[in-house]
Amino acid sequence: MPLPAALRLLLTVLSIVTGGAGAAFPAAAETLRASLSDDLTTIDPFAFPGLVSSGVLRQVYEGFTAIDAVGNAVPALATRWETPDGGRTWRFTLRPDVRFHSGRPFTAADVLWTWENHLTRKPQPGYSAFYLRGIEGAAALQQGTVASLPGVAIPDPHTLIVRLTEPDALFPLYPFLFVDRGMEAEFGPAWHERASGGTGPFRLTSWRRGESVRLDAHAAYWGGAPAVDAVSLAVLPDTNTLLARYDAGELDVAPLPDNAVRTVVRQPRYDGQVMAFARAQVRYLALNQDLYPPFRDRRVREAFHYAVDRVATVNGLHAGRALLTNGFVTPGLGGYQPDAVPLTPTDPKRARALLAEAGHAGGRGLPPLQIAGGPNVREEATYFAAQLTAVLGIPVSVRIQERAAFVAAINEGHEALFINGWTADFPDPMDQLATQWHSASPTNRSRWHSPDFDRLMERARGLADPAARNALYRDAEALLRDQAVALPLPVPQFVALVRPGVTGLVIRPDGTTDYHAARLP
Amino acid sequence: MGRRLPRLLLLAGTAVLASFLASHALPGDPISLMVDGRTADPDLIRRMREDAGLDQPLTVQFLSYALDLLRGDLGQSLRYGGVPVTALLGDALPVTLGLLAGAAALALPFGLTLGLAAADLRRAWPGTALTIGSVLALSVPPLALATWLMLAGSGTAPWAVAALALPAAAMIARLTRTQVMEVLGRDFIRTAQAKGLGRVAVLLRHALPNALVPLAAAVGSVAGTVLTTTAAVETVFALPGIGRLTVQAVLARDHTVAGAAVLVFVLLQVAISLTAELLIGLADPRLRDDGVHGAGAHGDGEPP
Repeated sequence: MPLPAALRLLLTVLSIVTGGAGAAFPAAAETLRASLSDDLTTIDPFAFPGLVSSGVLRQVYEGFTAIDAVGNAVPALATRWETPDGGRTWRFTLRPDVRFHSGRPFTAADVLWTWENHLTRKPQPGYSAFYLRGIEGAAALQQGTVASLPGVAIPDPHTLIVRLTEPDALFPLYPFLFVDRGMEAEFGPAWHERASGGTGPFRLTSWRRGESVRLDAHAAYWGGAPAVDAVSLAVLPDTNTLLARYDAGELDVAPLPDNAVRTVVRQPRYDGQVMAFARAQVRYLALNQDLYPPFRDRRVREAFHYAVDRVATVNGLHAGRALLTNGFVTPGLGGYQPDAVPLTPTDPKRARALLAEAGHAGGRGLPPLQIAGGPNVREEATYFAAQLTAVLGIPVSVRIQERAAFVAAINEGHEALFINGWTADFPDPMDQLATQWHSASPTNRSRWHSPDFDRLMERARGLADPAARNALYRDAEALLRDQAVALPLPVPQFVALVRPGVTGLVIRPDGTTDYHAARLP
Repeated sequence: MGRRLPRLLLLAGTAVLASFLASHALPGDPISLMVDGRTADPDLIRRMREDAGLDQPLTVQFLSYALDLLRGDLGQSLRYGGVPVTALLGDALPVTLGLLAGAAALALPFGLTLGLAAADLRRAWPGTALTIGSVLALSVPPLALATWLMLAGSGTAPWAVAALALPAAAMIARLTRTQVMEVLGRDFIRTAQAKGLGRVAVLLRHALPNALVPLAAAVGSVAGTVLTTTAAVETVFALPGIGRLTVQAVLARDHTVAGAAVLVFVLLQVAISLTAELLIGLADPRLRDDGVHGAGAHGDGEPP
């Protein structure tokens, strides 16, 4: 056993014997103690970070823009971004007073270095290579035929001009994480294991796998030093453990998993400690027309819309911490249109009439169905299945699978009727519309195809003016609604228990918690 | 013991390969779990899958894993992007061993004392109460017990030790009671009592030493049970030991880690069995060559 492991054994035994097991969660006066629902998969800002990792890395690294509390793109490391030609060329003005955690100044050369590193990394390119593929010369750089990225010009240290091969209005919104180009020279290729290389409000100072992450405040942060000295994040996937730790006063913030919200918020002992935030997520009951031919008839799809009572689930299943929408763009995103079209009311009579019109009176001739979903939608799926069976006369049952198995099944198009969701990666409705419904999208899990819809998405991508884009998004949503492609479902909010006196905490619509303005009592 | 080792190693190999195949047969893979359906370059995902060897047929993956294992190469974690499995095990093992050591330190003295007391007071109500109490402690599923203790004690490590130690102490107490009662019924005890020796002296000087050999054999299997319970306890208490590592590796489809963690479990179990046999062999030379049978199968040792 290597010495550190032996030492750790000794420490574990000592902490058990002395009862000092809280040692893993140091409760220094100004350390905010919160939790993570799962372990990080990496702290390398170039690797594909996954949901939990990116939530942590966004405290440490920043891009051109950030998402504010209501889902709009706001300036982060860029103060301005302009395009003279409808999104083909982008000119970024970088914030002049930004310093990395190392103390080095942030400049356009760091942006270029980050991008080139993403494109040329071996054995795999970095995750941003996907967003960089439109830059002139990106492919040539990846193939090694050029030595630098020709589509990027740096006229001065705080200006960056990017030329794309095709207009892309969303380029400034992509989730980039810019890295200090001095890190590799100073600490070697595995620098991220030893030092923090971002500009964000927190430095990543330790990651104990499966156990905890520690973030220390970056005093020279351009947006002002965080109010707390540090944030300690305990990895607590189990809800009971999470609540026990919170109840014992060992956590200041406990973000709740969706399926725990209903029981937790109804307990009087948590009165005044429940905070809810909008989530940029679209949710729907998906109808796969390829797999279940009756869904090709719009009347059958509409009958499903009229058969279920979605309003009842807001209070009944989500304890009021959910927003009812009738669209395919969600609250928490610019471009969301509240009350654009009223929700289809529950109308069992009309549902039965539509089904009869389609030649399936009383469900006759319709093969049995199952509502598939992950473990967190068990109750919702059961409720909808019961309603569909009662109203339409089709035998509908429920199939709940472990999350990985469910995601694999819908990715392969093996489910006919399932509850799906999509949380935005960047603050634009394109991320929810094109990913779910464009016929070329690898995540179009209901396999719905419409050339008209595809054209709307492709036109929107070339429109730099958000208002003009939003007009196309509205047309696209109207098309989806008109075709009754799926049943929009209430979107749960992010809910967290927050210890009384802790203020300033924000969970952004993309799910990352903003600890910058958080204050302890 | 010499004949037993190859059999145990074969058992270990079979267990780890079965675990590898079992986690491989599940739908979903670590890459799609990491990506979690978010926008990512499909090409990048394909390359990550290739790098992890997940595009190969199951038989090829299985053979390559088995060959690596035979060479002593435990491979790299799929979930943690190339971190050596040995590093993850090196972090987790001390936590589990610490828990086990803590549980043993609590369960052995408590279990022995309670067992002796129950044997001595077998005809009085405290003896009956102790017996009923130990049956109750053994009847509660370890997961439920761990969850109750976690909720009661805010999830700190001393309570995790208690969750492991309580059923173990109950098991030891019951075994001690049975063994000591058996010894107490023998002639040499009556002789000792007739000579006017006190109750406590009879128990400690005559009954206990004669019960120890079969007890040691039984404690080996108690330790095995405690070992498997650590997975539940570590998960409930969020302690980063081998048990939790195994559960999380299976959930994350991290096949290499899951296989290696199961191997560690099997090796720990084998080590516990061998140590128990070794100790018994040292204590009772007659048992050195032909192994030890279950507790209670012998007990005809002469008085010292």
